[in-house]
Amino acid sequence: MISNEATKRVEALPHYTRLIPESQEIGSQYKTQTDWKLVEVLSFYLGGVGTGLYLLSQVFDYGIGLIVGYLLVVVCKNGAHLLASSKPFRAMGVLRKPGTSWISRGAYGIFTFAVLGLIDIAFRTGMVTVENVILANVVSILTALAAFFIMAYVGFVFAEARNIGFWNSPIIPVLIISYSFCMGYALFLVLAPFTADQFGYPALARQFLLTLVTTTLLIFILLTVVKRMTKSAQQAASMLITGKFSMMFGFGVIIAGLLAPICLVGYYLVNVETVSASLLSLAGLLVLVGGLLCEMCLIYAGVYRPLVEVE
Amino acid sequence: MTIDLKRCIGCQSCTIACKMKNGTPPGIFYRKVFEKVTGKYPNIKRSYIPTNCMHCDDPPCVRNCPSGVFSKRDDGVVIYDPGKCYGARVCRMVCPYEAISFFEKVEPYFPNGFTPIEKYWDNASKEGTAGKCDFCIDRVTTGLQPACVKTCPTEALKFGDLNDPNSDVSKLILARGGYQMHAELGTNPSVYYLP
Repeated sequence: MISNEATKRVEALPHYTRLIPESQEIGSQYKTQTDWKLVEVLSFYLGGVGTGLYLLSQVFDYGIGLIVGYLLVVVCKNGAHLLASSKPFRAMGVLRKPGTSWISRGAYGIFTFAVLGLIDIAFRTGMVTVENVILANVVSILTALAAFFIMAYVGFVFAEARNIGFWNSPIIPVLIISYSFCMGYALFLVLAPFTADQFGYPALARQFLLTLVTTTLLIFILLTVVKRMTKSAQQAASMLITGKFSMMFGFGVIIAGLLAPICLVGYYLVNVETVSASLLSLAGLLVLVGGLLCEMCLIYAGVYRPLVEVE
Repeated sequence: MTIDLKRCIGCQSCTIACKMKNGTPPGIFYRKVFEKVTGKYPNIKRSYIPTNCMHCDDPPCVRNCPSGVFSKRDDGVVIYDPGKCYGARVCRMVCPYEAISFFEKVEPYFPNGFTPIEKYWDNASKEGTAGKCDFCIDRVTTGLQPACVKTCPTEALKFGDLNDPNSDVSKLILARGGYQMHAELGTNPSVYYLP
């Protein structure tokens, strides 16, 4: 029999820990996921911004936007993924399961984009002259498809987590695509004043406003849908609306990241003759910050369905 | 596998047997026994719910792991190869049963560094990779029972072939109305709880 003295001695040791950590003791708690942190948030965020910017830059034939978008995806997003990985030298293994794994499919999308994007940029910026217009167009279309795929796959990665009700919502993939376009416009409008290229700002502002309104509506639809889903999804919604992420979500994402830019862009469109286009850049900056916060909220508020439901 | 909830007394013998068999470092449990308290005073009931990898028929970890760390054998046991893991942790996200552990930082059990048995287990080489219950596949292939089943003093755990209608586990499931945890998620677990 172990004496009290012996128990005290063990408990006094500096390394003494509970046999089973408190967090694992009761399987009926609503726990948020803790595996994906800021680096993963950044990788998804940079992918969204980069692909959004790249696609818009293709439409508006904006060379700097193409290069920045490409670098954000290929260098920054991939860099963040490698940073998040505990064994980065094994990362090529990510290509093993494209048949079933969305992360693997996403990796194929990124590799395709990395190769085709380079050729597309070379063609479009005149670094390489191409006689065959059809070839250039095919490369452009395939790059655009790869970029769109990178934008979209993240939503399906989330949707696969059936035990995280909030991520399992069908609205999430649509919201991620919409937000990516929104952030693409935002970065486009932040970068555009620093270049000699001339863009039709009122038209850009109208499209930006459309993506902003769509994204805002999708967020409200998501919250409405989630509140009617599983208890873990409802917990996630509560965390965003009234819980520990309410400041970040309410003020950062909704007010500063969406409603304020909508007002700024609206004001610009109403007073287009008198107001400087730099107002759009300010709105863009706000959207970029709001987008990052939104990505954080989405990932951090992933609440697991408990193993055991408490009555 | 069947887990008899009426027989489990929450002694954690299976948890310890699992730790000893797999040599898992502090904080890593391939097997856990949860407590559930129901009812209101004075009519309170405390039950114990042992959990481990459910070895699903449609395992989300196998499907979603991009590097193919997890695979399902023909006999239905879901095994893993830590040598392929690069630490995406998507397996932990998609597993509805919290069955996958991640070897974040492997610490020794005692302050004076790793003991000889810990060095033998070589958990340091598993740092940054995922791990989980594999039904003690090395024991099962040699005709032995998994360590948890062998150790359980109340015989709450039974291991056998679910595809064989004459096996003990199949009979128990039929007789006792065995159910799967979170069956609504469609993963079709191979672990049944006997109420």
